[in-house]
Order: sequence, then C-alpha cells, then structure tokens
Amino acid sequence: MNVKNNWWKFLAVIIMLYVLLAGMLIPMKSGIYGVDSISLIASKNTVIEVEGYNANYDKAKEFRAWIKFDSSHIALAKAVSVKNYNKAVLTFDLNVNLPGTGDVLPATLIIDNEIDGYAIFPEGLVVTRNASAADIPFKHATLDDLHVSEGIKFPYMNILHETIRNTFFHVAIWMAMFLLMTVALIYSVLYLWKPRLSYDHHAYSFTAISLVYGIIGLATGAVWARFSWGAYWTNDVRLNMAAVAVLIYFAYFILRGSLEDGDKRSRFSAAFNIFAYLAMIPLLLVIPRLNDSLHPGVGGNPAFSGEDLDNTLRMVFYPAIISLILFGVWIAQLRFRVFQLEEKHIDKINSGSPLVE
Amino acid sequence: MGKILQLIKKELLLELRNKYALGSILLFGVSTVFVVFKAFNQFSPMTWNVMFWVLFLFISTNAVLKSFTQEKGSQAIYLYTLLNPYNVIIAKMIYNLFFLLLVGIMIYVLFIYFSFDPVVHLGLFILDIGLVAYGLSVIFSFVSAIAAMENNSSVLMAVLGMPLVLPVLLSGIKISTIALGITVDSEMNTDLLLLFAIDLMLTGVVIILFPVLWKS
Repeated sequence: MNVKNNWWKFLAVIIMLYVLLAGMLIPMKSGIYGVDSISLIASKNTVIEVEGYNANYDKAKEFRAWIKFDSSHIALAKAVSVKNYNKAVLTFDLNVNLPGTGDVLPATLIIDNEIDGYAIFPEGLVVTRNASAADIPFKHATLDDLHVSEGIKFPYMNILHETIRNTFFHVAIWMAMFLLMTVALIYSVLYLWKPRLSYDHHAYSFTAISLVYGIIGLATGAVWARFSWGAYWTNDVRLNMAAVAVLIYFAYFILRGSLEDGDKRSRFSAAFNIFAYLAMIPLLLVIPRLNDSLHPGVGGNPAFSGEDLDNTLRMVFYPAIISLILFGVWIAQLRFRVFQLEEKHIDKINSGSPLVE
Repeated sequence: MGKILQLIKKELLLELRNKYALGSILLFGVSTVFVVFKAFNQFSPMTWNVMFWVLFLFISTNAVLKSFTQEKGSQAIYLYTLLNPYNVIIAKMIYNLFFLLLVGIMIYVLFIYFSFDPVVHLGLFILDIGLVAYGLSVIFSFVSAIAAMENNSSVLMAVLGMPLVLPVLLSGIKISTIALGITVDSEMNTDLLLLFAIDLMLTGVVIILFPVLWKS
C-alpha cells in the first residue's frame, strides 16, 4: 500500500479512534440530577433534597447552595446536611419578600463544593410565595468564589446527561453528510457542463455515501431521542424534515434504477440531483428554524453554541467531523473504483465470463 | 412572451378537445370527496383540512400527470426543432398553475357542497391554494418531464414527485390551519413568504435545468 498517497486514510482511522476513546472515556462534570420536589413553599425552613451526579458530597468540606430568583435576588442556604456521596438536604430561609409579582416564581438552584465544582439546576424550581412575609427584606447573597472542577471533563446538562456524547456522532454525521452532498452536487453540475462519465460516477458515489450517512444520522438521532425525549420518533419538525430529505434522495436512486445506462440516465440523474439538493436546503436549514422544535437552538431549547458547546466538546466534535468526511470520501472512492473496474471489464461482464481466471 | 401565450393556448385547446380528460378529473374529484364524506359522516375543521389537502395532492398528481405525455414521438421532435425550451417549460408551468388552482377551487366547492365551509379567512385560504398550486405545478412539470421520457411514467412520477412536494404541502397545510381558524399564528407572514420563496427557488431551478431534459 502506498503510504504517501493514502496518508489521509490513516489519518481518518486515527482521528476516529481518538474520537471514540476521548468521546466515550472523558468523564462528565458533576451536576444536579434532580431534587425531591421541584415545587417549594416559601417558609422559614424550606427544605429541599438534592441528588447529584458524579458527586463527592461526603468528601467535600465547603458545601454551599443558593436559590437564584434573578441576578439581584440570590438566597444562600442557611444549613446543609450531607446524607451520602450524592445526596444532600438543603435548608433555606425564604420567609422574606420575594421579587416579582406572581404567586409562584421560577428559580434556579446552584450548589458548589471544592471537589466537584459548581452545578446548576436551571429554572428547575417553582417557589410559592409566602404573602405574609412581604415586609421582611430579602437577604441577598452574592455568588462568589465558585469552584471549577479540575481536569478535562464534559459539561453536564440536565435532560441530556451522558447522552451529550452523541454530539460527536449524531451532529457530526449530519454535517459530514451536508459536505458530501455538496461534493455530489458539484459533480452533477460538472456533468451537465461537460458530460464525462467519471463525473456521473463520482456524483453517484458521493450521493450514495451521503444517503448512508443520512440514514445513520436518523438512527443515531432516534437513539438519542429515546433517552432524552422519551420516544424513538417524535413530531419534531427538524426530525420529520430530515426524513423527507432522505426520501428525496431515495427517489434519486429509484430514478437511476428505472433508466437504462447511458447519457440520458446520467443527464437526468444529474438534473434531479441538483433539484433534490436545492429542495433539501429549505427542508433542513430554513423550515426547522421557523418552527418550534425539540432540537437545540429553537423554541427555547439550549443551543449548541456559546458556552454550551464548550471547549472540551469542541476538542472531540471538530475532529469527529473531519474524520467522518475523510471516511466518506474514502468510501465514495471505493465505489468509484468499482465503476472503473466495471467499465474496464464491460465486455467480460456482458458475456458472463469470470473476471478473474 | 407571444410564443408562451400561444403555447398556453395550445395546451388549453388540447385539454378541451380531449373532453374525457377534464371529465375524468371532475369524476375523480366528486367520487373521492363523496367517499370521504360518507366515511367520516361528520367533519371537524381539522379533518376537513387534512382531507382537503390529501385529496388536492392526489387529484392534482393525476391532473398534471399527462403534462408531457400528450406530445409523443414525432410530435415531440417537431416541437423540439420549433421551440425554445424555456418557452415550453414556462408555458407548461403557467398552464398547470391555473389548472391546479381551478382543481383546488373545485375541491373546495365540492367540500362545501358535501359538508360545510369552515374557512374563516377566505382570501388567505385562496392565496394558500394558489401558492401550493404554484409549487405543485413547478415540481410536477419538472417530474413529468422526466417521467415522460420513460414508459412507466405514472409510477415514476408519483415516486419522484411525492417527497419533493412535501415541503410545499406542509407549509400550505400550516397556513390553511390559520385560514380555517384552527390555530392563531402571529408569524403567518413569515410562513407565506417562506412558501413563496420555496416556489420561486424551485421555479428558477426548473427553468435552468429543463433544457437538459428537453434535449432528449
């Protein structure tokens, strides 16, 4: 094997091994898995039991907790009793004038200790106001000296938990698919511009591998949806539009199958490929953004941007995309070489004699 | 422009000369609406909406199917030597647009006759039918051009066309739920613009790609 010309194949394998190892083995940060009751009634001793994930509450010396209503109303827990490594009972004095006007108000729970670092339960609590305490002033505590856990760890997010690792496979494979489909589109345009058979074969090869990627993308998404949304298939806009896009590309192969070999087939499938690609753009990029979706970035869901896609995730996510693109090119090239061999031995194939004697 | 008008006139004449074609679409419409009405007995606006668009899709598939099958063999070669492909496809699309708009209004009238009229915003509903008819006519003109070159045209056209029309149809259904007063949406203008943008984009692509198909 010629190493000089095939270095990128080695690169693809090495990066994929890195993605698999790092993506699966790097631990999660500590987080708040849940609380015993999300609705609290404000009183002198409001008690809440918090359950942590990847936590070391029993080893921590400095355990602090806050309930945050808004940036100028943060209440510090007056007592913390640790039950075991991942359970602690927090007591707050909420018999004060709470901010806002409604009877119930959302609040965020924040805990911090020096081993696990800080953890947030965003907007996870609902506090019922104690109307008789309206004249007792709020004792505001600042969030200071928050600890950050040491070492390389993936961020912990509620609902997602460990499934955040699927970012490296599910999201990366859709991105790789988009790039490979664009390559197929370019070959289709090239064919219409200059009808060379190799362009048509390349377009077919790249479309085939991107369809496989699309199906894997749907499958990895289904697994992820089962664990974070509760069902393999949901009514989500982006999910359904992705399925339609995959159906459109199935139609490409049906079209190729129904036409006979030759220039006409190449021309028609090139034209259909361009049409399908342009029909797919509104499906995957425009419509989902205008509708409520369970996917990140729309309808109030956390987007994978800014602090959510943090540097530790990026460290694995970008290599994953590169590796999947390289694998896609590799597989497309193999398919293309099958075409070349078929062309070379077309007489033998037609006469039915064996290719290898 | 004059050539396009002449081509539209030719399409219309062919349609009218072929009386069974128009009649079959009318019969198809009446019988499917009747079956749906008998099966449901009582419509809610939501089922009305769903059935309207499903029937619209299937009846228009059948209506546009023959778009390129009328010219066969020597006639196609004659047209090919005579005409500019851009004029041909633009004429087909305009003709199909008006034809599908008529089909849509026909189904609407049949629905009112057999059940009731749930439409709250009539103008919006007609505009919605128009935009969807535009999108369907563009996509089906393109697909029937491909399918006409093959003998198994009707099957191929259904298979190729159905996934392609889904975005147009889904946007149309979303707008029509507003027109029927089922949902209230403040972002309706965005939806209308989006549907129109998809239609325009598809039109552009089809006009660019059609000469490639026309050569054969």
